[in-house]
Amino acid sequence: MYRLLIVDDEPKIIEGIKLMLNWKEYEVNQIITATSYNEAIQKAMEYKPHIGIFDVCIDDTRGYDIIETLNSFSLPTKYIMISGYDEFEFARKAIHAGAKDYLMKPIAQAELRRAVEKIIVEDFNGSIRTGIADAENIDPVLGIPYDSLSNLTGKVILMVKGEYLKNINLKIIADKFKMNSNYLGQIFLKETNIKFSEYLMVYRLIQAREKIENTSEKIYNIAHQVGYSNINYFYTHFHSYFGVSPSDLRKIEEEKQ
Amino acid sequence: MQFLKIKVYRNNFIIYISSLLIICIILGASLCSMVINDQLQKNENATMNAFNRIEANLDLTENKIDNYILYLYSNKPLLRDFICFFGNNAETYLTNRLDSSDGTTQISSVLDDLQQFVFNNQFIVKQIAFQSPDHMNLMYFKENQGTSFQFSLPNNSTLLSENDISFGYVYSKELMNPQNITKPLGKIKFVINSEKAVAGSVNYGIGKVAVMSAKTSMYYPPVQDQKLKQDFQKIYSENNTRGKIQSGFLNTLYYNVYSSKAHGFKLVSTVSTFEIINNNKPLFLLIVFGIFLIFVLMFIVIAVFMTHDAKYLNRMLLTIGAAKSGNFKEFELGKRNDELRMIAQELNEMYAQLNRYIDTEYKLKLKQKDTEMKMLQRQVNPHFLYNTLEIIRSCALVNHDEQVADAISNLGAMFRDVVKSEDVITIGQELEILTRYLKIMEFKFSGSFYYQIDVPPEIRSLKTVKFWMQPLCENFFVHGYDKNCAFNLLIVNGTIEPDAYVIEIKNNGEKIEQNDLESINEQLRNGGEEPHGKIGLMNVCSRLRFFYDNHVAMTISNNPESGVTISVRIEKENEHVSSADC
Repeated sequence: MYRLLIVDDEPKIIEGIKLMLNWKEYEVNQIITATSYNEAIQKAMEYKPHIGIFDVCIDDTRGYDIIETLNSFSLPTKYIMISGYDEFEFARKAIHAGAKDYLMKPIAQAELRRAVEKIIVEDFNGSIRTGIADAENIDPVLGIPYDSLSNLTGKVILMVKGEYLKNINLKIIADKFKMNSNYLGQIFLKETNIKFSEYLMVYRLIQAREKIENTSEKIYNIAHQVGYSNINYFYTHFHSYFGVSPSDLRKIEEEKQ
Repeated sequence: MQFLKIKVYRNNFIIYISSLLIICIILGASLCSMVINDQLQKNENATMNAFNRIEANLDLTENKIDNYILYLYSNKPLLRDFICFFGNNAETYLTNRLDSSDGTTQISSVLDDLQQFVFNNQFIVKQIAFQSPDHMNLMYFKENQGTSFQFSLPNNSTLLSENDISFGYVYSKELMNPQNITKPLGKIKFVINSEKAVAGSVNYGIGKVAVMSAKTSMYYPPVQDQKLKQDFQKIYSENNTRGKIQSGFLNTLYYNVYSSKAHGFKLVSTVSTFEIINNNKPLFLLIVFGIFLIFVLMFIVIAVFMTHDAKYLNRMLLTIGAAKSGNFKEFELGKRNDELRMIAQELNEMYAQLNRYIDTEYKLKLKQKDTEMKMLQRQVNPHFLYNTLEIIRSCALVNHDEQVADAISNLGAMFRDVVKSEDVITIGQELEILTRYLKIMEFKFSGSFYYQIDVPPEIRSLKTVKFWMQPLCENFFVHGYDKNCAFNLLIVNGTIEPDAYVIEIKNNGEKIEQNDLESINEQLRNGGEEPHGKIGLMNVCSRLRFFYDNHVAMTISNNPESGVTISVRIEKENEHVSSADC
């Protein structure tokens, strides 16, 4: 749907930008590249791209001058300047020439993403499809991507995932970090808005539910596997969390089949 | 009297004042003695004049008497009458008188003639004694009372007291017998009234004068004081013509003596110091007050000058004190032209030179740094650097190595942030720099390092000086980091307290020994020097202090479990600070 023109005298940088974002995600299905401004003008005229990522400086020519030239041909293109130069003057002129953004090299992935999303939403009235990331990257309990968690909390969750079958608790994790468990608990709560013990319980219940749904193992065994030694607790927790008792769920599954 | 605090002036002052006192005393004493000597001289002259007048008076009277005697011998009738009178009693005289008279001519009366002579000379002769070898007749003259006689008295009668000045001066003449020139007839003695001869002549001025003879003395003015009379007697008995007698403390009695050999008396004049002073009170008061005034004036002048000097010196000492503490302020020279000013001038020049020296040294260092920086910039063209980093990152992406790509991105961004010219940024921006650094560290220690940053937006919006969190965190990687442990942790935590914003940087590395901890904290409190080879803890502390104008405290403490916490406490009232670059 969208066409992207990338202009830089370094082919490797062009390759990098191609890989920096998952362009398909933004419905960019054609990426045109140019390593000189002449080529860029030529390709711009030919392909009429929606988004142009221009290096600000190739040899003695300035990217913003090229933009001004292109602007006179009434192209629909919106420009993002990338630059190794810190000079304020470059940035000022680029913005003056109509560039939507001025990104510094090395380009931060997040900034590029933000700039592209802004153009799509503001200039082409497009929409950004979110949440289509792989289910593997979403935490089942919190429902948010792992990327958005701090790496400490990520590590704690990772440890839960690895050890939830055994007798794991906050104290054991805190000891590994040589930390006060209350303090670690506070950090976890603050970031996830959920207590660690609750997180652990929910994670176990989710795992149990999966097993109930996908295996024919006895519920008693499943409860034991996910770390519940007391079957009564398991039943109570499961029911209050999912609104259905484990055995009812098993029946529903059996009926489905 | 500020100068009394400075020893050199105190000593000088004491010396000056004592010298001044001595000079004043000497001056006063010599002036007084001049006045006294002058007075003594006057007194001596007056006495001499008096003596000369007395002598002249007596001589004149003696002359008159001599003339009278000659006249008596030349006048035959009178002489006849005198012979009749001389050596006889009244009856014999009268008988003789009648016998010698021829009865026709008026008999001349020698007694009448004598009386006339005395009268003519204003009774200067008060008594005449006619001494024949056997006895004598006395003739008394008294003003307004006429003349009286006493006949046939013994020659040693007490009614004629010789060598007794208060009785009178006795002028004695030998009488020859007119019939036989070789045969003495007797003596005639004229008693001259000494009161009359002396009184008018003695000008005793301010002292006391005495006309003294062996037997009696006459004092002018009259003397009652027995002690003084004794002093007079003592002077009389010594044969000095002048001298002095100590009579009591500070009181000296000066005297002059004139002795008349011809008339057998001495004229003694005395004057005491007290009498002179008493008599010249205004002059002495003038001298004393004058000298006192001079003393006071000089005292004030010295004190004023010394105070002036001492103030100057004090100011100089203050300036030197200030210079000691590094404040080379110029000394106000003022209007002087002496060694103190020279010293002050030298001080000023020294300060100026020191300032110049510090200035050039400082500027030189700055220039040096500037040059180094420029060279570095020229060598590492940032554009070249960032472009190259971008290329490397792109290669990593092409190779599907996203970790490397992110690390390079962070490295470039961090470098860019650090070399950016602005020095004052928000804590949020500072945390971004820190985050990039920690991400690089996460990449470096992949799988064994974890971090967490939790700082509320209110703190993130505060202004701060750039690049102080990274050195504090770097600390951890240099010192406390355990490579064999898979759970290295760093937490940056911001909390808002009622009066301060607190940023804590915690790690779970090694603890610091209690002694070291205390000494580090001590240095952080007092702003000590960076221990050699240690991380920029002191540097960060002093930069923060400078930026927050000392309203910031940095402490380091051990965590109960493990590792240390560096705590930076920024007081609330001073969150926004001078835009001073640092």
